[in-house]
Amino acid sequence: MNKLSLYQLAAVMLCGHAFSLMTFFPYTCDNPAEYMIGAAIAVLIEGALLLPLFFAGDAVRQGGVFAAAERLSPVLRVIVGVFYTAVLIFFCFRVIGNFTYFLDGIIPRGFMRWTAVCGICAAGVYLGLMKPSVIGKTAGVMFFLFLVFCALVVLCSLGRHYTGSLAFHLASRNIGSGIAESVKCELLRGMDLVFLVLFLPCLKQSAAKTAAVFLSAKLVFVWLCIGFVTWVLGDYVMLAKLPFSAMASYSSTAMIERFDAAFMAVWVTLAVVRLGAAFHCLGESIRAVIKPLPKGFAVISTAAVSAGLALFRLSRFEWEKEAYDMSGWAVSVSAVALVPLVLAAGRLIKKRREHSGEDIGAEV
Amino acid sequence: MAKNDLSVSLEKTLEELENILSDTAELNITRAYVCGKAAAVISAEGMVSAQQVGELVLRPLSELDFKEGKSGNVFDHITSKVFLTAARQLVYSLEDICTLLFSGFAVVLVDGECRACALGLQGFEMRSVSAPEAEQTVRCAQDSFTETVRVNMSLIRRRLKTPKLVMKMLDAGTLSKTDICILYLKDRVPADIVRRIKEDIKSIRLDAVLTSGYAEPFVDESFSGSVFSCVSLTERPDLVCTRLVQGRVCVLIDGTPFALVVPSLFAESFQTMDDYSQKPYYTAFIRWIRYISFFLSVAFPGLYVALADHHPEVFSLKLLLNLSVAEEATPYPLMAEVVMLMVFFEIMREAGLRLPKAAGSAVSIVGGLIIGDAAVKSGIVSAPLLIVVGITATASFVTPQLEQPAAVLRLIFILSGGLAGLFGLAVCFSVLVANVCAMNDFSVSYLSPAAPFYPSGIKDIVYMKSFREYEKGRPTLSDIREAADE
Repeated sequence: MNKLSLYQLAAVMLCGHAFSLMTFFPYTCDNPAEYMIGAAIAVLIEGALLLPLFFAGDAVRQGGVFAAAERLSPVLRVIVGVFYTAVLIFFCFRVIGNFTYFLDGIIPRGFMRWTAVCGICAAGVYLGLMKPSVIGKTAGVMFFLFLVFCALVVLCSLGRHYTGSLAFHLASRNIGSGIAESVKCELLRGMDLVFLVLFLPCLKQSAAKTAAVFLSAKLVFVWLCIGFVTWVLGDYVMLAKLPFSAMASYSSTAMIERFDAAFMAVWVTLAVVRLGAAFHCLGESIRAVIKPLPKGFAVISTAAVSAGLALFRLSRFEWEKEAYDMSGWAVSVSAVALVPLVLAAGRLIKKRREHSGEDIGAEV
Repeated sequence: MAKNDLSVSLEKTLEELENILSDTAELNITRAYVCGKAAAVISAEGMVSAQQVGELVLRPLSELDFKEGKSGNVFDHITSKVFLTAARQLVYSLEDICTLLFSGFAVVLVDGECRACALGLQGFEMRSVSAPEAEQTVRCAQDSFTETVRVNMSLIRRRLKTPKLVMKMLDAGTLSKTDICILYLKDRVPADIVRRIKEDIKSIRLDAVLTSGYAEPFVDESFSGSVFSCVSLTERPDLVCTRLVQGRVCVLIDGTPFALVVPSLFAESFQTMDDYSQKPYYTAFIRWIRYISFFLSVAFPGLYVALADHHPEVFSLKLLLNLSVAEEATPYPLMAEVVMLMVFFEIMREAGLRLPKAAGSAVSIVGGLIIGDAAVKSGIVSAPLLIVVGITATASFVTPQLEQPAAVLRLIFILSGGLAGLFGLAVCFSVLVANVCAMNDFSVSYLSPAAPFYPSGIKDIVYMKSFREYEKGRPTLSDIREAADE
């Protein structure tokens, strides 16, 4: 029951990626084609970033990164625990903040920000307290519903597109910089890969296979989403703060005038899954630092810290800067690659030392 | 197992028995002499058939011509050759005698013997097998379970004549000693499931087990963790047989005309026996109607409140104007109106259930037509809202298995939709999905075969496979578990 299947973990990560993709587009690229190229490059980089995890795979699979670190040194376990706690608090802080900030544009006036934060965090904590397999199953259901919703929006906006494929023009002020910014943006969104590292001991199949499925599905998904939004909205896509919400508001049927409210509902469910998975991992990370901490307390307290930080920043109306800050991509990269790299290196050194010890023993 | 405490003296045994039973008025003790030995036939009034006791026990005893003087031989002779009953058993304790007396046995005691012979001569009043009331079908069997466990066992055995069908009898309730029968097909159910259910039943420490609801919390792991249940109830023997074939365990409890099916899946709440008597295309169509009905019964009022109160831009202009005009005329907020109407609907439903059938229909007329009409005319509630509540109420009757969770969830969705619009609904929905995904009784996911995804099983959800396809083998519980492990 504690085990996650490949598809369930992929669904968790895809839900997270879909959430961030639905949230905003970077202003820095000039056209969606740049972003699509950037996404493809980002996928290749992410694949490369995961290599240390595959090298450290066996060690990490037996009890997770924290147990693997403890096998090398108890101090290392605490360092890794603190590192992931900090990374995940930053991750949750951004998810909660972005969610609340961009929700302002969709939700009716008079809805307090703290209410949104409390609602989404409560649901996230509930999910975070569940077993990994439950998180995986929930993500599977939510991602399926999300795909159904996307198909519905696509069908309902078929007759309302503005510019068609002409919108995929390649005119750009600086293609290189546009693609680089897109890569950074995608890497920032790729923070969900940290779930692959932290859920690895619960995974039924191999990490490499899961990563391959996730990365290829993600690329197809990003291309399809961006391609379709561009096709419907044309050049307007680069001006819309929330292009997917804008597309949903353009979709209509004889009975439903616009789908942006429904988009918001689906977006909320994706946020709950992303936060739920993050809170779960956050709880595990803090428990690696302070071992006797009860799971419930660990999850709730760390969730409260992330929510409190986000709410503080939101209450000072400073989120605009935070939302469009792409520097977080470095955190994402280090969270995915750094610790597995250290573990793989440590394991190698330890093996060599053992070998040399055995050789000395044999000589004596 | 009670200790062997029967005295060799008949008089002493009878005295002890009367003491234990506090000279209860229902005890019949018929004394007799058998081959010179004092004997007694004991029975409980109303529990045994007096005619059968006379014909199958007393007459053979009185006509007995047995020469041998040893009491042991007398007892052995009468228990093996004289009594004409099929069900008989030797008893060695007063406690067992009491239990058997009140289960419809007559007990024969012979002086000089520290054992007794109990003869099954049940003659208590029982309801005959009748048509099902809660799960009616059009083209299927029209019999249903009764309150007598033995009758219910026979209803199942008549349909499944295989020796693989196992019926294990247990009892529960320190005072009631209720008979509980566990049924399963030996090669279809994983052994750990049967073992756990037996342990769960044995763990019941209640004074009395009077209905299936008493045993359900002991068998259902998620009983207090979710609004849904991994244990379903049915009054149909044919449905029980279907589930047994699919590898489930059924529990029959004496005194209740419902069988517990363990474990039960969410998708099965939308299946009826009629599905298997119709063409697959029609069954698929009706199943989708049921899915939509369940969605409407749970979410429609909440969705309406959320959209009308928080996201009116979703409605087309004409509809929006109509709704706006109707709502403007009412004095209360929309959420309060919906809550009021839904609570009123629940009151009417409860009244209709508890009252005699004739009065029940009068309640529907008074509630539905008179109060509903008057409420709209007086401007307390709007007409569109009454339509919403009407559709919701009707839809909730389509899936009776899910009526209870639907009633609670409906109210939660109305409140969340009213307070926070679609945001509130989405948050509640996420929590609900997580809660349902966590239901994993007996290592079988409640959402199987949808989550975890099981391609062969999913066909029976989206559409119904024909019996030609079932010839190849129907997915059993073990298959679902294996699929989840992969």
